[in-house]
Amino acid sequence: MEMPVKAQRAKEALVKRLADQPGFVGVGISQNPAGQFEIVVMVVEQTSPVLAKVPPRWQGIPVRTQVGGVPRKF
Amino acid sequence: MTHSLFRPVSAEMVAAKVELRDRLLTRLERQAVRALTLRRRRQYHPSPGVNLVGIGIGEKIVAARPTSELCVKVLVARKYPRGRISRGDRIPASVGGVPVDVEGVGYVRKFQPPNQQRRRPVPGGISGSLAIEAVGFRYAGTLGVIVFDRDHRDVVYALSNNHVLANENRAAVGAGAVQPATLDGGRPTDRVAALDRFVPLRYNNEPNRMDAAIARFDAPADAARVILDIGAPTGAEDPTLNLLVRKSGRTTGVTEGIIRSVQFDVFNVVYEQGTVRMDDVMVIEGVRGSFSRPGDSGSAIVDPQGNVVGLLFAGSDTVTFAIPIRRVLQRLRVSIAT
Repeated sequence: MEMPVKAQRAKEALVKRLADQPGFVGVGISQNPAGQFEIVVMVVEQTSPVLAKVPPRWQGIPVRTQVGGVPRKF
Repeated sequence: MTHSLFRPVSAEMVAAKVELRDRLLTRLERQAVRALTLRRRRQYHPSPGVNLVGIGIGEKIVAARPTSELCVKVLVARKYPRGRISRGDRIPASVGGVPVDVEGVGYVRKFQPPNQQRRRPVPGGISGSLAIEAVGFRYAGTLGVIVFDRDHRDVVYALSNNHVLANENRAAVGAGAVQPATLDGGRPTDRVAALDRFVPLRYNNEPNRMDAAIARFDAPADAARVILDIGAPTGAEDPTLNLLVRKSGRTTGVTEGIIRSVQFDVFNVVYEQGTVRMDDVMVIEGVRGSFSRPGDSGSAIVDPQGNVVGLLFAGSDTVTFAIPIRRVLQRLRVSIAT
């Protein structure tokens, strides 16, 4: 787990930008059906304030948002 | 008068059932403690106070053959020959002229899904927790997979999460682990292992790399090197994007999912003692409905080749989070038992 170093660095930088924002769940790397790497930003709900801070692209990499709900230990 | 199976149930039949039920109920109430003791020991006794399972209206069976005749039907745990039952303990052959039929059906227990039952030897994917005396409350998690010590290959452990086997850092090394979990009826006599080591959790969004713990089996023969309803694992591998995976867990059993994200840093995961940040984990979405639910923590995530790729620890309404397994195995100095 081929993963562009660029994507990893971009993810880490985006974490620093969003970590304190209300409704933020996390940031990771995913791959769309065309095989293109993207950054995925997960938020608690559709109205989470953090969404206003999520850029459509970050350091040249497309950013996708996903509503994930509140994470809890299972 | 005979009561045909093909006619409506008569008021006389219902009255007979109610009368017999009320007579037997007084016996049940008098012998409640004795009945519970014997049933827990899986022992039988002809007294209706112990033996009675239920009462209703059904078809009379004679010598294992249906008769097409309606009767008051009494179900008992074990049917005894009439000569072995004292006169006072006998269920009458009829009530108010209505025939009574007695049938042995064994003791009735609540239905438990396979992953919540007691099993020996203990496979992965099964219900487990610390014993009640170690934590003071009942809960349930999953003993995910059997692993062995890299330095002492004959030492065998159950791998799960810190929050399952170490009560979020609060359990003492040596605390007993039971299978099934206390929430699923696990008692001190169901002890199979003892907490051996765990990776401490840090709170308030301090970075963590894993939520993991191992409990050493008291008897290595008590461990089965399989994952319930999945089979024997073949080893350990790194997770990859869009990989189809399965898990066997205490709450939802075997489910399928797809790894949708890796190197995911998740924040604000709700634990008992605060919020937890976990770095570089995988995000899994279920193929059909939820991939996991509470109680599945500790489940092993398995790829199509049987390799363990992750250790489930958290989730939300829509996704599941799991820790890459190689990181866990390396930190705890164990290997997957294949």
